[in-house]
Amino acid sequence: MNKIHSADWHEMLDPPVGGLARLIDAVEIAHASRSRWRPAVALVGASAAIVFCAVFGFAWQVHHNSPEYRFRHALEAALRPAAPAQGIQVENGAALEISSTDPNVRIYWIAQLPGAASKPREY
Amino acid sequence: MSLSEGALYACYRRMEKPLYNVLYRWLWQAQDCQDTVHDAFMRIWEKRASVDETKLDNLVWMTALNLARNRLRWRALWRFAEPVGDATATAEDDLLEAASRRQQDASLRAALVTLPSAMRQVLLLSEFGGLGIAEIAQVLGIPPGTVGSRKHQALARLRAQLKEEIP
Repeated sequence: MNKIHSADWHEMLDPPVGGLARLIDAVEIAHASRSRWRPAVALVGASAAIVFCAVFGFAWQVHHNSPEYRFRHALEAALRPAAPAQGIQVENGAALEISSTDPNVRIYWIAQLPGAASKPREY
Repeated sequence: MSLSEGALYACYRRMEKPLYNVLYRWLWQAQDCQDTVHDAFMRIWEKRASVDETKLDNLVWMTALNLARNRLRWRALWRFAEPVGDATATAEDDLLEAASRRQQDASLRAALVTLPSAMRQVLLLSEFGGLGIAEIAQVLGIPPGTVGSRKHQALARLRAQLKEEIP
């Protein structure tokens, strides 16, 4: 093995020149690229938010216009305790008035809880 | 708590040479060392919002050492662990100086390779990084007493390897 002198062993080398300039350039590029992408990122974010709102709004509208939803909504309204008099009251259930073309005929859709036995009561 | 550009550049000016010298005795390639120093400072710059300027030097050391470890792993993975020479030094120095440098590098490298990694780190940080025992303890996360004993053992082994009196 080659011998080396103690002075050589401790010799401090000079780093290659241009290290600091390289770092300064890289930091500036990082700044520039961030400011360049910021509007694009904002635009993409805004577009995504608009699309989400549109899709969500459409789905909400479709859901609220569905016959199931409307019937359930009407049934819930009918089951409310303080509901105004509807001409018919069903114990353990609800009655939903369905429009009739004949003014002398009243049609009700009656739903009862399972197992409940009661008769329609007319007022 | 945020790092300013001025503080980053001042730290670079202050630490470039000791960092380079420690890394050179570990990676043995000028370009790799310069890249590692650069990458360490860029990593820190990317996290500048959470960097405490009072602990910047320690952070630079830790980041640079971790990156150097990663480079060595990468080299080992791709079987580039063998010395490939230093083109930068050869281009810059005259041929005799370059030959002399390669010979010194080879001797020191051969001696350092025989040291366990933990001892080598302490020795490099102490001899080429210019760090004191307390600073090395902070950077490596070990007790100061351990740093002292590792440094002592490392120097003794290196002395035996080089068969030369090392102050």
